[in-house]
Amino acid sequence: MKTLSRIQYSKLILSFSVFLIGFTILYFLTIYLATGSLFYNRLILLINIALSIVGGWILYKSRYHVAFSFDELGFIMQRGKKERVEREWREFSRVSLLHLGGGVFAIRLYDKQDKFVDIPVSALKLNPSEFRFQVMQLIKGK
Amino acid sequence: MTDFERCLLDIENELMTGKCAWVADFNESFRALKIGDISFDMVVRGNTRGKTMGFLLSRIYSYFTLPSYDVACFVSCVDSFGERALNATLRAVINHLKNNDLQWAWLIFLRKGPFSDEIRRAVENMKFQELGVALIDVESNTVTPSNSYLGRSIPKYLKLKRRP
Repeated sequence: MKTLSRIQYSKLILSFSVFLIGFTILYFLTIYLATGSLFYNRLILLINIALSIVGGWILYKSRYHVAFSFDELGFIMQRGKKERVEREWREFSRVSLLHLGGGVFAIRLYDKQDKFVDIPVSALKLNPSEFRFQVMQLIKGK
Repeated sequence: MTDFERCLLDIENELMTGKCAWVADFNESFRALKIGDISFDMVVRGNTRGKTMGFLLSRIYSYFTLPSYDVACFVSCVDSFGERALNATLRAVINHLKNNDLQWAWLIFLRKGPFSDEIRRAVENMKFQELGVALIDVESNTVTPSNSYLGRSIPKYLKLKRRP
């Protein structure tokens, strides 16, 4: 089985920023409630950055990171820790290329009941158009 | 890659990420899709209220000012093409519009070489309000649109790259 897994830097920066802003607000709140004044120094900033790197990485891996494995029979897609999709190509009948905005694409697979699964090709740094044709061939069973 | 495939990719890019965003947010593209008895090489679906374009202000603006109409663009690559095939395709598209609550559609025929005068005249005289039709000769990039607002908008927004 071929496995694809790429780091999405935009999502990683987003996760890091969420933690950095969160830790900074928490620090200011705590220090203001404890001392009645606001002060900040480089050491606190470095500690906040270090904690944000760790927290951001954990948040990114548990929520956004996409790992996609496939062969000629089917695929397994794991997004974060919770969302896992394991399907066979033959369960699907139609494929579409989906533009999600801002140049981000996904491949949408429709099954016979018209329910769909999206493969985030931009997150996997694949060429959306080429991968769509590859998936169409896999669905046809070629 | 064949000339048709290259042309389909150009059209798909123009519709999904190019100038056609001014007309509608074409966000989903199907290849080799059969509708009724007719097989289309490409069908791109969209909505006139853009959901994937712009950031916050554009989205708020489009939400309050633009109508939410589902639309589509059908593209068919043809070799020999007569009025009978044209009418069958038109019927399939119009039925699809009605059955799927689509407000309007573009229908584009691609051909290597010029279309016959008979077909060109038939398309030029079409006056469907909900359907814009265009014939594109992929060798010379000549576009023959139908005589309706939607037809005339096809060459305006869908610019194909000139190839040497």
